[in-house]
Amino acid sequence: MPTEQEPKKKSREASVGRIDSVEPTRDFHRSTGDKWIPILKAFNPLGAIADAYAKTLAYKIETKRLDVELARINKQANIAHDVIDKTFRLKMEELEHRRIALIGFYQTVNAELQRLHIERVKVLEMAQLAQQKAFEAGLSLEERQMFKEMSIEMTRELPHFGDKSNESLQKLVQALPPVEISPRLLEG
Amino acid sequence: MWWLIPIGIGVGLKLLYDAVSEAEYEARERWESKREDVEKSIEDHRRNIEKHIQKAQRSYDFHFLVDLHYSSSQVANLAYQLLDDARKSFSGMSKMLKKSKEQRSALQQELEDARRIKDRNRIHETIEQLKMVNELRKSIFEDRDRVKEQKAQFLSEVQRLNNQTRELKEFIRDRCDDGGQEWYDRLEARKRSRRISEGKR
Repeated sequence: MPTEQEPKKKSREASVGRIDSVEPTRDFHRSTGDKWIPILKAFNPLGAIADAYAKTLAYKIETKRLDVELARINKQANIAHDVIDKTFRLKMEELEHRRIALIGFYQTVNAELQRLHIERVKVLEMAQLAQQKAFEAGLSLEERQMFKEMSIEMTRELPHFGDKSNESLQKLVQALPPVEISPRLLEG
Repeated sequence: MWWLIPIGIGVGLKLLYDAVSEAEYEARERWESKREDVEKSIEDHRRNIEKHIQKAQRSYDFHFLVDLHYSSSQVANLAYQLLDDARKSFSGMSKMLKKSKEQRSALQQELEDARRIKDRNRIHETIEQLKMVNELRKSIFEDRDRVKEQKAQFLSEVQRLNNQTRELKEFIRDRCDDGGQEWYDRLEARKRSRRISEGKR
């Protein structure tokens, strides 16, 4: 059955910058006192000497343990720094890949929009020319009708170019990465 | 002399106790000192790691936001091109409407003249031409209205993207430490020099 302490333990393990604490001092005093004092008191009058000697040994053992803890802390800190650096490099690489992909995408859409722009300009010119021809003197009614129809067909295309361009623009807008500013940055 | 024995034992025990107490005191001092070192080391490491994380996060955020600003400005530029295209189409169609209006006026004058001299063929032909011009105008008006809507849509998109780009730029300047301010200054300097070279000032 899982205890309440388990999630806490897991979150501590998952945290990159977490350096585990060493055993608090009061625990040490309590543990040494609980173990030695009642026994040694039985050997009076050497009890006080034995007690002092036992404490000396306990302090030495504890000092050794702290040396090991210090080494562990240093190692843990080095690992944490290494993980931070590696994660940062990985994230930057992801950013670089996304940048390259987006630039390629912009170039493709830009080329498409340029093509639409040129076509649009040409179609407008043709529509204007067809209208001009429809109004010219010396043409039969049939010829005028033909040029009028041509002009109508051409101008009808102009809003279609707008629709197509808008579709491309919306693709670009959607491709913009969502703004994910970290809370740290928002805090300033 | 026998009474000297307990005194000797007592003195011996006292000396032994003092020696052991001294050793205990020294061991305790060393342990206290070591414990403080360990606590200080933990605090130092925690602080350094926190600083390291913040630095990495800020650096990543800065690059992310600069990329986003670049993307946003690129899309805004493209949206502006589309707006410009829509404006040109609108203007071209308005010119067509103006010319067709002139043509219609001329045809109406011609119709009056034809009616005055009662030239049936000319009247018929002019009426047909007027119908044609009106059809053409109606169609252009409809299409121009659609282009007008698109123009308004592109204008709104350009304004939105420009605002977004400006907000990002100011955010980078204000929230990304010295790097953000330097980036902003370089960007503004480039803009100024481009304006000067284009003669806009």
